[in-house]
Amino acid sequence: MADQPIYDEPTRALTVRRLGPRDLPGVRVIAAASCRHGDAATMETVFAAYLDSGCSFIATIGEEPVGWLLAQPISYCDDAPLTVWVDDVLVRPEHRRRGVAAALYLAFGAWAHGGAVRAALTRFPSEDAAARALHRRAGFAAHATGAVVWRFDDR
Amino acid sequence: MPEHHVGSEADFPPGAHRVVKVRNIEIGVFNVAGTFYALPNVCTHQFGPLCEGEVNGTTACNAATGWKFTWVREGEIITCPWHGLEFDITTGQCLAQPKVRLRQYPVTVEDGEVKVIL
Amino acid sequence: MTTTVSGRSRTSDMVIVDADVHVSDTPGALAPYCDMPWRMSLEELGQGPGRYLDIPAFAPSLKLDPPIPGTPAPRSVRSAAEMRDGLSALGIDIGILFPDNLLLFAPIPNIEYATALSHAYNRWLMEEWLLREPDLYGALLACPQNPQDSAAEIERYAKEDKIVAVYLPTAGVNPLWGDRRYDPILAAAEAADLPVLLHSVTLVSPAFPCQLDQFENHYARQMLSHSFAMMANLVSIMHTGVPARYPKLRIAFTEAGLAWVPYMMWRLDKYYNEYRRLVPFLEKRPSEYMKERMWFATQPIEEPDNASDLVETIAHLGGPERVLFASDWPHHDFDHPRAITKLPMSAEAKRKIMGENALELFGIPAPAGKSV
Repeated sequence: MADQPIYDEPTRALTVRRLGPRDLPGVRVIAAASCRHGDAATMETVFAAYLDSGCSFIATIGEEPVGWLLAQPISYCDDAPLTVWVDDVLVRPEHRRRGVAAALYLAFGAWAHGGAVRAALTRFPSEDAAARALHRRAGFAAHATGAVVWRFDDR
Repeated sequence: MPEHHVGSEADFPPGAHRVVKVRNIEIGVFNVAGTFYALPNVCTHQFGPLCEGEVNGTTACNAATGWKFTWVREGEIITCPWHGLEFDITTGQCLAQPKVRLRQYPVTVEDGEVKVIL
Repeated sequence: MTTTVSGRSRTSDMVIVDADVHVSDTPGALAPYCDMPWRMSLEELGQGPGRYLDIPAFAPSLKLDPPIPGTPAPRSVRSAAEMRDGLSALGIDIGILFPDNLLLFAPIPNIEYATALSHAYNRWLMEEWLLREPDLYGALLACPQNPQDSAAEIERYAKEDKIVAVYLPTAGVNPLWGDRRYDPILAAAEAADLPVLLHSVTLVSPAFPCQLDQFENHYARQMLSHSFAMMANLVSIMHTGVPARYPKLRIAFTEAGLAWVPYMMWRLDKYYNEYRRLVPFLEKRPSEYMKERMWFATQPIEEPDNASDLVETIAHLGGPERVLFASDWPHHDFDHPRAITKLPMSAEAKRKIMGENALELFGIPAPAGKSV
């Protein structure tokens, strides 16, 4: 699970990589800092699923975890993820408006385009202009069902 | 919370299925002869609203049926309303593309309340 | 027709099997091999003018084109020795023999006569061709007019080493070869471990897909005849589940080239998604059955400006393993082996296409003096 290249623009020393078992402390930090938490046992169960499925990403500045992209397969081909649903993209409040979410999607897209998955889908409130812009720039397109879809099999 | 309440048992009599919204994803919840299943409401083909389709059986014709057309799996097959792809509700497998299967979400029924685990 | 020696020397290092060559089967030649009373019919037909693929009740065809001076006369091969010489001149080691006139066998409606004619052709082929030259092998003429008898005929010849396939006359066959009435023929071929070879010819007839009378000239009819015949019969074979019901049956399609195959694979797969419940006997995607049990002969090989486009097409249809070299000698549009060996492919791919695939498919040993 190699680190993705460090992005100098727009945030210095930002690293984005695939979420793995060693990142459990990191996701806990992000959850706590963003007031997204339930009881500890519940969070462990929730995060374990993301850590295991290998489709999620974490952004760090140095050792400091600053954001996550949590995604789960919703279909498989021969037990490998085929289609993925992005459940949540979250950046800690103090690190917002610095391109972290865009960087998370950039890394996700590079991984997916390498053949890992065929498509990603997600949904966000239609009135959320910032989310709309983020997803459009990442590569998602509007889909008839109201979700947005990002295809990786069009090369 | 990983457990999401999607309705009461009375909302899902045997043979019924409905699409429910859980966080930002739509899930189809099915009661197949008393056993509950939950699948994403996203077809693998062109991402249509799979679980809005009809639940039926399907046809089989092979050496085991003596090469006679036979109706099988009544109530266990969901057909996508967009292009007719059939999926086995009980396993998530696509009948026309057996390597492809949908994720299955665990469903629990406790005290008459139906919960899907995400 | 002269051929150059240089073609032969470039291909002399590989075994070349020609999956499609044609013998001149005239009524007069077959008559001595035909049961009475139909022998008399063939004797009388044999006294008529010698026509090429245009003989009443023997090669029935609606010929609509005025002759134009300068059109090359058709070639015929009249003996096993002549075939051996013709193939050697092209650098070909082994030939699989098909008829000329009886490419038009399927539309003959008289069941008793057609049955007798099929027996006569098969006997004549064995005696006058296959038993006279070591490297000539034959495809048994199937009789769609009489499937039960045809099945018995296949069983009769199953043990003959020189019979390596069953020729399914495809031009004008009605209904098409997937119809369940032909099950006895397919079952017999599967049981005898003989591949079935579909072979058509340009024909104008009321039977689908031969209603080509609206076209003014033969250019158009040549465009569509073989292609539509192979495509329609492939669909017919798929839609009744032949590959599932006869899982060991091997099927080859001839004389329609290669480029139609990926299109059919993709289209058959696409509609399988939606219509699977109409064809539930197909438990795999149609293209998977095609890539496991079906083969495609090269002639008339497509000649795109960019030869690697054709190599890519071969990859799309499942790779060189699916392809059988065919010349169609001595017909007007025959391919010299060089038409395939000049393509930008690996030597291994060429060896497969030019001979190895056919040796395996037909169960033929490599000829003396050449190892595979």
